[in-house]
Amino acid sequence: MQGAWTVVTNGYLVGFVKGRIWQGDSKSVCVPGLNCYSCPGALGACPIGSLQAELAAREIKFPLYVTGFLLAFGALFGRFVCGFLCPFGWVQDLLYKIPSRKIGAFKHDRLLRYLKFVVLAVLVVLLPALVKNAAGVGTPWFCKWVCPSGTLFAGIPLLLANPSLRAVVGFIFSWKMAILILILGLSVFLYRPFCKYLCPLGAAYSLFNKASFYRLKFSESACTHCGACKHACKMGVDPTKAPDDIECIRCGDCVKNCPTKALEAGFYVGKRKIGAKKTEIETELNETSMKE
Amino acid sequence: MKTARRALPILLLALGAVFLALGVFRGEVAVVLSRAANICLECIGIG
Repeated sequence: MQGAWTVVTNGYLVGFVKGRIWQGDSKSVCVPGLNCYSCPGALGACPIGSLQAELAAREIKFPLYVTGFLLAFGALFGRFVCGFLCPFGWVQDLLYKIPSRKIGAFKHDRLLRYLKFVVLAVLVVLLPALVKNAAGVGTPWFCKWVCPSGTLFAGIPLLLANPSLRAVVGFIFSWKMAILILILGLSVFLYRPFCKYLCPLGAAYSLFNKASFYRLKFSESACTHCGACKHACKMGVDPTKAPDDIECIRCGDCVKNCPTKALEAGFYVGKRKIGAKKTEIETELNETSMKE
Repeated sequence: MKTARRALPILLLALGAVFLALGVFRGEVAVVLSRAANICLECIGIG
């Protein structure tokens, strides 16, 4: 699904050949994942890039439009976006499939994950909104100094296809290439390092995991506490203790590995799973009322 | 409390729709489009 989504939202293939980007009206609509709008194939706008653009603009005090997209995507999907609708997440997933010795949880792993909130607050919100030039226009700090997705999907293909851009490459590109190489290299050994520690979009969506329509449901009565779900989770979450953990990217590995079907993922309105048969709903409601 | 939690996704989605509509009304679409439809030099590490 991740590959298909990446192809669908980056379908302007001519751009890769001619070294230019799509300029149609669809570029005014944000896609849910971290998908650089300067990627030659991109048909939509990156929400993090757009948020910085709005905050950096002279005339906008509060970015209602992009915040609206983030609220809507967050309320619908939570971090399901990270698991299934993000091109850079997909790249990290593919790299992790390379056979190698894998790094699991380490000391301060959980603490380091809060770094992405700092990135969101400082590089995406505060600096673009507060540091402005003489004309009153700010800079997209995260895009400029960190975003490896922009380097991979926009910088590299554009420089390869466009000689005039190659002529003006300097220190910032080298810096961003170093970040990209570091993250891609780490991704072979450590599951989704960018998503875990640095991604500001993941940080924003994580706040919705407890309050999104797409959720993970845990049935205590069906659980045998075998630990298969916790063992299967590459994000280091124990779904039996915290099915709505902010680190859960809703990949569904725990659901697939549960031998007793104690975990279920889907879209819920209240306790009702959208698309569930009536008998399933009744069983679930009975289970809940018995517990209460 | 439980009812409030159940209603939260609906409220957040509604708030998102209101923000989107207000953003469109304020002309923020043009800001996003002008940024997204031109090569962002900062994004590719040149600007």
